[in-house]
Amino acid sequence: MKILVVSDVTAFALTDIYAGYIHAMSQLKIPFEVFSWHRERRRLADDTCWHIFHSEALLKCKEFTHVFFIGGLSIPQFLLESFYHVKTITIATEDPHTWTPQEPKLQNIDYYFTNERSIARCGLYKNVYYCPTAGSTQECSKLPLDALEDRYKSDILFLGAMYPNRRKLLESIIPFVKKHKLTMKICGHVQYMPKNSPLWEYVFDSRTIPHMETVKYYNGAKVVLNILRDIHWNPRTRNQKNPLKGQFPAESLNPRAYEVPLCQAFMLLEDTRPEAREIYGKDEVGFFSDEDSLRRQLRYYLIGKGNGLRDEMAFRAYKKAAEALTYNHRMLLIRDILEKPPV
Amino acid sequence: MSQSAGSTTNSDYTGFIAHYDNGRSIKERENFYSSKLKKKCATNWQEIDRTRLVALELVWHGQSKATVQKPPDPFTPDQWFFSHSGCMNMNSRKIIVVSRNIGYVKDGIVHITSVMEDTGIIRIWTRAV
Repeated sequence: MKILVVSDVTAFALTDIYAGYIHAMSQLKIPFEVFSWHRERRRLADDTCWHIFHSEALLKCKEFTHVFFIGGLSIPQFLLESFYHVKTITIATEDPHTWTPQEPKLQNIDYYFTNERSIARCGLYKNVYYCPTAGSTQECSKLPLDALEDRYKSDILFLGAMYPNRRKLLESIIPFVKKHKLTMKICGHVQYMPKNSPLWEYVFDSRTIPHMETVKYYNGAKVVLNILRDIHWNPRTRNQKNPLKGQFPAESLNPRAYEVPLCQAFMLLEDTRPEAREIYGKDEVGFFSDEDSLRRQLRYYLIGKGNGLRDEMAFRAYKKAAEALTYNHRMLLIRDILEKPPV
Repeated sequence: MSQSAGSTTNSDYTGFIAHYDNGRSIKERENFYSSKLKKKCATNWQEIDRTRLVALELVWHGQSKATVQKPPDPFTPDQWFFSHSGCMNMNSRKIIVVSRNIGYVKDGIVHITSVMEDTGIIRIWTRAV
């Protein structure tokens, strides 16, 4: 087996996933090469890049057996149709509730790994496999608190895009935050937040946060909130309703659910998706389902009896994530599937 | 195989302790004169009898940081793993230990628990043999 790896054009958002899989392949000694023009992608036209990629993949002397697309939303159809003798693998990184699992392209993809369990289990597609999101032990790590700048420290941290369900939950804890004089920081994309939202006071960093900085923010927070996105909402439609809602139930977790524990940071995880409680236990992360339970959990873990439990719980979650939920483990799963003889 | 964080001991010792099936334990030592090999060695790892090992324990400044226990058989002596990661100080030519690692090998994958020498931070990771 020898793999040629390429990331999608939206390189920035995929940096950590791309780096995670590249690192996993080298750690596991899986023969691979990265697409040598990867760094030129922003300068060259997309089609030019894909043509070079096609030529490279089919070079006889390179002996590639598989091409590995990370992302894969923008792979042109002609490319998928012309990979003779080379198997195609797509690691879907997009939100599966906003983008369909590329039904028209699926017949030309040999292995499609979705990050939503319900898509793999629906039985509609024979070449679709479930490969959950993950974290990287290389990218995510515990940092000594005294080495962190003050700007990364907080009592409550929310990092991510501000979808309406997240805004509603965060707005509900403002009185609690004010009453106990806690520091709450909101980092990430806030373009969906209305101008009159009281949350603007807490917006600390509205950039697309580079991965190394997210690790610092997680390390500096006493509690990291992981609020899962509402699949009924879609900012790309005129009425902001998701036309794909209900097609596949939301069961799986986001990458943050693995990255936060891998930083040995304490996470409060929304448990409205089944995998939350299937993967983590009550002694590893805190759970909440709605505004009331979120307030109760924050009170317990920040000013109540749970104050002294956070470090131990975070370490237990770290142990679980590091021992089974990293890109190395996902890559082992993928390798096993690729090495299985076709049915 | 289980890996766990442990308790505090009294000394200021940093290194790993090899626990044997007969209750004995051997502390890892550096700059060690091996009577078996009749020469000065960087560590006493050669003296550790892997066939008798039941657990490896990583201690950092007297504090037990992590333990790897022997699982039920089949488990061969070769499956135990211990190492240092380090670098050389180019002025003094001394080796600086960056992290101490213990672990085990299973299905061609090494499962490693490391303790950072400076900070005592624990890191759990995997790689191919």
